[in-house]
Parts: sequence; C-alpha cells; structure tokens
Amino acid sequence: MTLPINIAVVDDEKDFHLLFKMTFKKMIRTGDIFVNDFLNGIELLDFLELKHDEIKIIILFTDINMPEMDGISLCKVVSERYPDIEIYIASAYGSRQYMDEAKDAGAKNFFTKPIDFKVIGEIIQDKVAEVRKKAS
Amino acid sequence: MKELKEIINFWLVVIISTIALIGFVIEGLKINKLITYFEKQHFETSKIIANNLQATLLFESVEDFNSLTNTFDFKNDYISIEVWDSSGKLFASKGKPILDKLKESTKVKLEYSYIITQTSIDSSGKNFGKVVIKRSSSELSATIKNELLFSFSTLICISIFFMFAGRKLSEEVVVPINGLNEQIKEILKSHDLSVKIPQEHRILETKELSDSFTELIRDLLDSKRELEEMNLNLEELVENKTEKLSSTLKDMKRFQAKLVSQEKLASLGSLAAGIAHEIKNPLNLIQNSALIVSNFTQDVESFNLKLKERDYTDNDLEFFIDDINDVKMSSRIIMDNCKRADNIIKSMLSQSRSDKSKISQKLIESLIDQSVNLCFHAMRAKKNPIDVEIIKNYQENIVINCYPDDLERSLINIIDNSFYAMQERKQIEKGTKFSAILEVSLTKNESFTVIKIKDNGIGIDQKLKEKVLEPFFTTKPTGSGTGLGMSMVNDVAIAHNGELIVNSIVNDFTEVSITISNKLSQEDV
Repeated sequence: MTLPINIAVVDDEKDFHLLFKMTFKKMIRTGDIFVNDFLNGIELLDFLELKHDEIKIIILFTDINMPEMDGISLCKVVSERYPDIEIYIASAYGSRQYMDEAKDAGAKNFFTKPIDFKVIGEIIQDKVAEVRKKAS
Repeated sequence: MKELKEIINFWLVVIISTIALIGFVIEGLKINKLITYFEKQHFETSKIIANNLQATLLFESVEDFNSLTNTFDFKNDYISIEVWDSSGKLFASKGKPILDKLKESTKVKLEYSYIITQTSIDSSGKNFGKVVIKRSSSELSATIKNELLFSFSTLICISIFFMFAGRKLSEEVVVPINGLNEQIKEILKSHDLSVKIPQEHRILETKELSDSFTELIRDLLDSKRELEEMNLNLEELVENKTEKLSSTLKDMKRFQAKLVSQEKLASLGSLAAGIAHEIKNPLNLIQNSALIVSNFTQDVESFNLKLKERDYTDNDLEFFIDDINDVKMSSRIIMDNCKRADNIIKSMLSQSRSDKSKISQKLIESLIDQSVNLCFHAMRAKKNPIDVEIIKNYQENIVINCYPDDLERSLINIIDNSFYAMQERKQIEKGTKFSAILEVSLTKNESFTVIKIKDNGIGIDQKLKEKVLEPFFTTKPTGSGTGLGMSMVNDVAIAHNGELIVNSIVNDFTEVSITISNKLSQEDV
C-alpha cells in the first residue's frame, strides 16, 4: 500500500465536501491523502465497482440521513463487498440504537454531528503513519 | 263452586226426604192395616147381623127386625140398616136412607165418615136377601188423622233438628275457615305478614290448617327479613362500587387530560427538537468554515514573514492564492448557511399558527382563487416553470366562518406542493406528452365544506403517505423545504373542526382534501 491513501466521503451536502477538502488541504497537498467525494451511496458503489482495483479506498466517511440510500445500508453493502475499507459513520442523531446498528452493519466507529474534524484528522493521520511504516 | 251451606242443605234435604219417605211408607202401611182391620171388623159384625136376620127375613117379621136393631147405637155408631129381600124389595130399614149405589159384588165401601157393608142373608144355601149397613167411620178417621199428625210432627222435628245440626256443623267449619281467609286477605291488602286475627278453633282439622298457615307466614316473614338484609347489603355494595367507579372515572378523566397535555408538550418538544436538528447542520458548516478562515490567519502570518524575507517559492505563492480562494469559499459557505438558518426559523415562525388568528366570514371560492393565482405566478417566476391546465369546480355562493389567513396559507402550501410534484414529473417524463393538470373543487354538504386539490404529479409512495403530515418530513432536497408545511395544514384543518385527507398513487395523482366545519364560531376557539 502506497501513499496517497484514498479516502471516500459520502454526504448529500456539497458544502460539506468543500469543507472536508479545505480542512485537510495540507495532507492533500503533501500527497498523503486523496479525497474522493460522492453525493450519495449509489454513486460510491458504482465508483467502487468500476475502480476498486485501481484505487484502493481505505477510509469511508458517511452520513446516515441521505436520500437514495441511507448510511447504514451503504455500510452493510460496503463491508460485505469490500471488507478492507474502514467505515466511519456520522449522524446528527446520537441514539444508542443507531450506534449499535452502525457497528452491526460493519462500521469501525460512529460520530455524532456536528463532526469534530480534529478527530477525523487524527484517524487520517494514524492511517497515513501506518501506511508509511509498512512501506518502509 | 258451591258454599258448604248449600252442600249441607242439599244433603239435609236428601236425608230428610229419605226419612220422610220411609216414614210415609211405614205410616201408609200402618194406616192400611188399621183400615183393613176396621173393615174386617165391620164385615164380621154385619155377617153376624145377617145371620141374626135370617129368621126375620124368612118369617118376614118386622118386629123382629126392630127389636134386633133397637140395641144398636144410632147416635154415634149406626147410621142406617136396610134389609132387602131377594127380589130387590126393601123389607125393612132403620135410619137415614142409603143413597150410595152399590154393585152386587161390593161387600164393603169405606168412605171418610161412614162405612157401608153389604152382606147377603142366606139360609141352608138359599139366598133370602141382603142387609146393607151404614155405620160411622169417624173414629177411624180420627185415629188416622192423629197418626198422620203425629208422624208429620215427628218429621218436622227431625227436619228442624237436622237443619240445626247442619247449620251448627257448617258454622263450626266455615267460621274458622273464613277467619283464616280474612287474615290472608288482610295480609295481602296491607303487605304486612305480621297481621294476626284471633281465632277459636274447636275442630282439629281447621286448627291444623290454621297452625300450618301461621307457620308458613312465619317462614315467609323470616325469608322476607333475610331478603331485606341481603338487599341492604347489596345496596351497600352497589354504593361502594359506584363510588369506586366514579372516582376511577374522575381519575381517568384527569389522566386523559394529562395525556392530552403531555401529547401537546411532546409535539412541541419534537418541534423544538426538529428545529434544533435542522439548524445544527448549517451551524456546523458555519463553524468549520470559520475554523478554516481562522487557520488561514496563521498561514498569512507565516507567509508574510516569508514575503518579508523574500524567501518564498512559486509553490508557496500558488498555495497561498489557493488558500485565499478557500477563504473566499468558506466565507460564502458561512453566509449561505447563516441565511439557511434564518430561513428555517422564519419559515417555522410563519408556518406555525399564530394565536391571534381571527374568525371571519368569507366567500370560500375567492379565497381558493387567490391562493391558486399566487402559487401559479410564483411557480412561473421560479426555476423550471411549467404549463398547467387549471380546472375549477366550485359550488356557488359558499360563505362560511373560517380563519381566512390560516386557510389561505394552507391552500398556498398544498398548491405549492402540487406544482412542485408536477414540475418533478415533467422533469422525469421529459419529452413525453405529459401535461400538468390541477383540479380544484369546492363542495358543501350539511355539516362540512370540502376543498379538494388534485394534481397529476409524481405522487406519494404508500409507505411515505403516513409520514406526510409529520413535522419536518419532506422528500425535497436539503434546503428546498422544511417539511413543516403539511403538518401546519393539518393543524389548520383541525382548528376548523375538520380534517385533512391525502390520497395518492405514485406517478398518477395526488389529491388533498381539506374539510372544514360549516358552523365554526367564536366559541370554538
């Protein structure tokens, strides 16, 4: 596995994608990460089907409340088909039920909104460090 | 049904008649015997006299006749003697002439006051004549009279005795029975089982009857008392139950009121929760964008330093300009989301019903027309305007009480949704012959006025139909609608004592009926 690591972000809000990329601009510039953004789960699945061999997505950040396909269903499908992808789910609702559902669906972790980009940053940093170590 | 008296009298009559009959028979026989004896006696006597007159008649001696008959008592006994000879000629007579015509064969003729005997005078087998003797039978009559009188008196006495006995018997039985009967009647009249009529009892059977009856009454009295006790207990039980029930009812009513107020609070709570949730997102974006701007200021400082020392690369410049663009973008995001948050609050305020709603009378069709026109022009002025055929079906002159502002707002909401749905369908079915049709109808029946708005847009899925009236439910993309419209319309319908009904088939039609009461009054507020 080499850098940049590929991150997928699925959210129905365009501004969120902009924000995400702006927040992690430094890492993008250094070539540590590459952010692939999708407005809904179906777009992502189509992408994965086509490009999975080329582009190895490692981390997936997704919202639960989305039109077309909600986050939990997406998580289930992805964890089944592409088990090497780490999935992180975010939602405005922080109920225990959602958290359990997310974990059962295969998510690595669950965040409540508003998302703390610091935590996300740490996850990405750790992954980058991991890959760097493996490479050497 | 016969009285005892009648029965006893009947039997008395039977007995007395029987006795009388027997008596008469006996007396009859007796009298018969007397008469027979009497006749026999007289006949014997006349036979003797006839014998004595043999010689007289033979020798035709009248002196003989007279001397013979001188000894006879013609005062009290003999009435007349006539001697006839065999040729039928009167030979001699004494006393009154006998007028009775007697047959030859008649030997004796007994009358009430006299007896006549006719005896033939014979000697050595030769008939010389006959002697007819008439004597008084008054003695016999008197005897017979006495006999009859005696037996009749006896009969009368017996009858009287029996009648007396019968009456006494009847009394002995009937009086206690009547007494018992009176007591029963008295109890029936007064419904008081404790009534007692004192009775003397001389007959065992009636006493036993009376005793049994008294026992029966006592038994009934006891049962009655038992029932009264049970009844009192029951009444107590019922009272208790009723008390419990009424207090339970009060509790339930209180509970119901609590539930209603809790529900109201809950819906308010969910409204507030919904608002909070909706605003979280824009706020989050604002916050993170602000962070980027804030981080940039640090970068400016470091870049400024580089600039001063002229120690920068082309890359640095490129990145810096890129960062400035990011800041621009972040500012844009901040402003957009501030507006978004503002809109959410504004639409919430406008879509919630104000407490100051007033009732007034309105011509409903003009209200509908206003709403349709407003929505149509608004739709034409915005993105993706479409042509819509509007069909109106109004019942005329419907003027009723309503909340005109709220009603208009509701209609606008519904019609807006209709136009949106038809726009969507037009997008999906681009190129086909789809033409948008909006049907608006207004009807009035006895209690309600119904406004129906039907569009042929994309429709609502069966599964989602229930959620349509939920606050914040919307199928529109983020920012296009708060999802509060239909829940507000529902509230308005309820405020008009009516209801909101949504019917739909996907890709076919959606029909929203809003029903409002005809008799809305200020008191309903």
